[in-house]
Amino acid sequence: MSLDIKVNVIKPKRQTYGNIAERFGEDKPASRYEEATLDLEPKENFHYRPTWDPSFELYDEGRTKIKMQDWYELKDPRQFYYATYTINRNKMFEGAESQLNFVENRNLMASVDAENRDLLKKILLPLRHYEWGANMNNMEITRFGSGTSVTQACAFDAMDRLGLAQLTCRIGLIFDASMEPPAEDEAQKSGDASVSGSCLHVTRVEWIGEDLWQPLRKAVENSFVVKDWFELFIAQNFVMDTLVYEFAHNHFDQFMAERGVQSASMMTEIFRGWFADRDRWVTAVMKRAVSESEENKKLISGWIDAWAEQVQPAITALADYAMPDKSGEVITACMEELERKKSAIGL
Amino acid sequence: MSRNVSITLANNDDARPILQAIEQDNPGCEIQQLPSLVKVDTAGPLRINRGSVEAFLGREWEVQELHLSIVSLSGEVDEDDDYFELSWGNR
Repeated sequence: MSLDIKVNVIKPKRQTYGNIAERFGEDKPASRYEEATLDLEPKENFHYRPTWDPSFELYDEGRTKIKMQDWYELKDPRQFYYATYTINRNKMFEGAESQLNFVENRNLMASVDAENRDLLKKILLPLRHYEWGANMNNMEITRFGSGTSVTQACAFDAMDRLGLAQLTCRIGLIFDASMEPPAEDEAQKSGDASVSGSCLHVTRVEWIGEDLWQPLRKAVENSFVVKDWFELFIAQNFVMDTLVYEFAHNHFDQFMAERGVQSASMMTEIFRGWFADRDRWVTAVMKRAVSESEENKKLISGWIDAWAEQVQPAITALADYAMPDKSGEVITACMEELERKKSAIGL
Repeated sequence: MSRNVSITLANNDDARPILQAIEQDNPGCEIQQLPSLVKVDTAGPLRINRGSVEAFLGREWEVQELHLSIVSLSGEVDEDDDYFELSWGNR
C-alpha cells in the first residue's frame, strides 16, 4: 500500500505589512529590518502642535536645514533593529568583558610603571564624560530626527555610548585595583572605606577643571545646544568621533604600545571594533545625504569644516600633553583621516 | 539532455538574503515558493557569492553559514571562501 501525502498549499493573502506593501507592492517579502523600520513614524493628522515648541509640528521635517525627498533613504547598512542590535552588541560586550577580566585577573596593570599608568589614566578615563556627551547628543537626534531609519540607529548608538562610558569606568576600577591599597588607618582617616572608584572622582575633577580637557569639554557642551539635528549628527558622529577616536584609540594606543604597554590595548580593543562597525553606518547616512542635492552638500561640507575647526584644538591639547615629541605629526594624521572620510562620502 | 541544478532553502529570515543574492547573480533561475521552503532551479551553474549575500544581509557572512539554511540540493558542489557553486561539470 502506498501512502500519498497530499500537500495543500495555502497562499498567504499578503506577504507583508501595510507599511512595506505601500512601498514595494504586496508580493515582495520584506526583511525584518525593513518591516521594523520603514514608514513607522507618523506623518499626518497631527491635531496639536507641541505645547513646548508650537513653531513646529510633531515629527516636523523642518527641524533641520537638510532636505530629503525620502528620509527613509538614510538606511543603516548593518540593518539593526531591536533583535539584531541586541544580539550583536551582547556578543561584542561579552568579548570586551573577557578581555577586561584577563587584564584584571592577571593584574597586568600592576606591572605598568607609574609614569605610563598615570598617562593612561589621564588620557583614557576622562573620555567617559565624552562618551556620555555622545549619548546625550544621539538621544537628542533620536528625539528630533526624521525617519525611523535614522532615529532608531541613533537610539542604538546612544545606548552604545552609555555602554562604552561604563566600560571606561570599568577600566578605571581596574587601575584602582592594581594600586597598592593604602594602610588601613589612612583609609579610615579619609572617611573612605574603599579606594575602589577613587580614580573616577579624580577624572571628573580633571574633566571639569583641568586646562587639558577644557577645549574638548567646550566642544562637547557647545554641541549640546545645537538645534539642527543633522548638524548635531555631523558634529558628534562624524567630526568629533573621528578625531577623538583616531587620536585616543589609534595614535595614543600605538604610542603606548611603543612604550611597552600593550596590555592597555587589550582593554580598549572594543572601542576600535565598535568604531569600525558603526562607522559603516555613519558613512552610509552621510553619503546618501550628500548625494541628494547640491544644497545638502554645501551645508554638510560647511558644518564639517566649522566643527573640525572647533575640535582640532581639543585633540591638539591632548596630543601636546601625551606625546609632545610628535604631536604635530599625530594631529596632521588625524586631520588627514577626517579628509579621507570626507572624500569617502563624496565631498 | 541538459540537467538542472537546484538548491532548496528554508523559507525564513536567515535564508532570505541568500535568496536575494541568488536572484541577483543568477538571471534566469526559476524560483518556486513551497510551504516553508524555497526551491531554485536553473540550467546552471548556480552561484552564491559571499559579497552579494553580505550586501543584502548587512554583516559579514561565511559561506559555511549557508548549510544552516540548506534543505536539499542537486548538482556538484564547488565551495570556496568567497562562493558556493552548483553545476554538473562538463560531462
